[in-house]
Amino acid sequence: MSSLTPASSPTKPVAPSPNGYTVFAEALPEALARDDFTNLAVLLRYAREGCWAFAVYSHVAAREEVVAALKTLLQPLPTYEWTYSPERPSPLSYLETLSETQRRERAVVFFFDLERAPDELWKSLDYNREALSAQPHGLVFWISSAGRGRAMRAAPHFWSQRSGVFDFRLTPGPLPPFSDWARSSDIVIDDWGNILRQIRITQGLLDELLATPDAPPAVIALQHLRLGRLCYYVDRLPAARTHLEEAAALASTVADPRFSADVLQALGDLALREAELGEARRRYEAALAIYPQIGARLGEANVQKALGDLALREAELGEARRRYEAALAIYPQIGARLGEANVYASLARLALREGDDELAQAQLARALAFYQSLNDRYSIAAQVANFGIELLRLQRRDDAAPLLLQAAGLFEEIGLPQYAVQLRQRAGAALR
Amino acid sequence: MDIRSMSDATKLQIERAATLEDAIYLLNPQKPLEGETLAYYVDRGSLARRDIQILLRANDLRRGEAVRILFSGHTGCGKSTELNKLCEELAGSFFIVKVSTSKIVQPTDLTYVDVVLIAAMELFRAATAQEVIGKAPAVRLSEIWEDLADFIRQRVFGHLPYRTPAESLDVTAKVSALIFEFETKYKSEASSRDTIRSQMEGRLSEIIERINTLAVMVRQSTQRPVLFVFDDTDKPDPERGRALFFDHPTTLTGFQASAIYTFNIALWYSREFKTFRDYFSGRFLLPNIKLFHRDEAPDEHGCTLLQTVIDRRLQPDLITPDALTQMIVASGGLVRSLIGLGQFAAVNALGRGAQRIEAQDVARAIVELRNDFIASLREEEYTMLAALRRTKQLAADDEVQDLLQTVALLQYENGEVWCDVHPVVVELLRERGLLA
Repeated sequence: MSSLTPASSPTKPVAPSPNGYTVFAEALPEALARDDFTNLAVLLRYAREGCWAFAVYSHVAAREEVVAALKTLLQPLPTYEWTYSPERPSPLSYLETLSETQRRERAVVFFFDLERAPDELWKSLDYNREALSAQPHGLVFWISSAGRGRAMRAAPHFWSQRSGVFDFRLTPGPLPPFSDWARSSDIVIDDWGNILRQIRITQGLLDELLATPDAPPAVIALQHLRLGRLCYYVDRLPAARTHLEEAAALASTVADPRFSADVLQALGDLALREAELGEARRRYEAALAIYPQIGARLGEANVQKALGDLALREAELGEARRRYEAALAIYPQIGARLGEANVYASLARLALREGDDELAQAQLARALAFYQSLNDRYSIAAQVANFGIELLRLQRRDDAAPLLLQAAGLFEEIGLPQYAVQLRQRAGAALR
Repeated sequence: MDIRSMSDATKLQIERAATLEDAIYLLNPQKPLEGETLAYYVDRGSLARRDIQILLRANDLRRGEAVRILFSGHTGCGKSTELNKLCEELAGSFFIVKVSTSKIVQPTDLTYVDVVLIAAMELFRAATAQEVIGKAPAVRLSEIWEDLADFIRQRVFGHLPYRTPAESLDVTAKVSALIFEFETKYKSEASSRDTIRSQMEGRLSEIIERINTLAVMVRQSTQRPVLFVFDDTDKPDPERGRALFFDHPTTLTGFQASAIYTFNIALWYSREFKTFRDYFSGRFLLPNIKLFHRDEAPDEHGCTLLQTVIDRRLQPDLITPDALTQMIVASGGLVRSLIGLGQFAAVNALGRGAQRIEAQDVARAIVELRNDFIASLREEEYTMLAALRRTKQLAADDEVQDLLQTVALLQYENGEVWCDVHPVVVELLRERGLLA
């Protein structure tokens, strides 16, 4: 982890629905109208002790609608979500996010994306079934039809102890109109759970689109871009590259130059993270050739800021300042407070390089105040960490360690312990 | 719907579910019967449970000769409940030490060293009970406990850092604290676990010696011999199970105390088992409950047994006779499957606003079971199952073992071992024209 990336300013306003991220413009009532929906609710309400059930789905949109409706129906029973990720593969890890009181209370936990997990995960469910049945929680494992056969084979004991299989597969038919969210590539970077939620819905939608013969390539391209950006933020860099390259290959199908510029910028960010500085510069400059032409001022400012970071990385301090000032000339005009905050945080690191500690502290404080007002806890943690990492680069280990530990604590609070672990290791190494 | 104990603790008055909500709670396929819920136990006339008791009582209780037993069975056959019942019945005569290795070490990582070490710690902890230390000679007791504390500190932890128990504690409390520290380290610190394992590998005889010393003390104090019950040594997959059992039988049977090991059914049919099994005085496989004889005539006894399992938990007006019959047949004689079908049928009935389980509710649960088989069976397996339905002969082939694992094929026993296809799968074979 060379440095952590703050959430970039979205290129369009984002308005996630209250139930998360809706895929289609209209609801899919078929799944909710089934007896399976009522029966699953009955089981979860009356099982009293721990139990688990499987819910089979064919469409991610229907799955998410059923979950949202069950959450409402089962109130006041608390509900939680766990999504498979290579970073935290054990399903038992859902317990780590609960307090002691929450662990003792009845609740419902929805598990997603297990079909993306290796067989070892299913085996671990088989081995840990007593630990799971000892919890007072109703567990619902969402699986595809293919996942069903695999679960039976890989975890026969766990499967045999299920309290039921509930079918939410939809009748095949043409896809309904897509929602605004599905027609965008916007992402929200806040807490770990929400990042995983966006990944699972986007990945599910993408899988369905790829399996649909007449799916619009432009919508496919948008999902690749979204996934590429999300994977980048959770450090799955090879997956990020794959998706961004797919998005680039499909750019011609999206009749929007902004999309091409967004892909170029995302590829630039990835190259910068992987220390491919020449490639990063090429991508950013190509994006910068597009944004001003289409009046995309936010995109232009984001790339200026990114080129500033690249210059800072190359120790071209004058160039870095020039780029940051160019970005700062745009952000306030368009009310992009997150972008503005990101520049102040970068200016803080620049001031450190220039040996002006007082200015550095002031710029960092200014950035953090902006993030605070935006309630952006991820960026606060990331920028405190980046400031500490910059101090490490300058061999100021004693100054760096407390900041790295502070950032580690902040990452733990928002459910990103993997970053916390890395930062604590760096703090420990700095103090040795 | 609570379980109330009467003045005679051996006769529990249990209440059966009177509503579908209670039925959903009581028919829980996740929970084997244990403790108070053993009041719902139905005696299946298991020869395995009877013979294990005979072996233990005749050899260990009467003659002081420890016996080691392997206990196995197919998924969902009622193994855990049967073992819990056995422990309950033996508790008055034996000092039972239940060992659940998976609470400390994942089955994917379990080694024979872990098994011995965790068993030892469980015994050390169990022996701190008042009934043991209250009756043992004080001087001897002190020597043993001081030795155990030293052993854990110096041999188990060695150079590893550990939290030292308070000096003010008496020696048994210190041992308890050290055991807790061991379990925490072993469970959560992979590097400490590796260090302890490698330190202990060459010193297993020292651990076994202490187990033996303590077992003697427990027997003198309580008049009951120690019986280790390993309830999850069947969990490791066949490869690790093979390394655990087949490569280290002398260690696992090395202590002077009786032990029951649960054993992976897949290893039961492996070639190595023939040479390995002689290390154990008894090997018992809990068969599924037969619903049909080998000639496909109904087995009334098996059906009645499963009917009793449901009768114990539900009031009779909560399920129609037709529904109950359907459920029993669809279970294939697997107790867990019966309980799961019952719970799912109760959910279906309550979901449609009914007051009792009817045939349509069970039919719906059976559809899901059927879908399970459709999702898991490969095309070539249907042909194989059709052939097995005709011959009913078991083989040690991997393919047959796979089918047993998915419970599409069920193993039965009445003097000889034979197999039959799950009744729900029989219907699938008929639909495919593979059976008349």
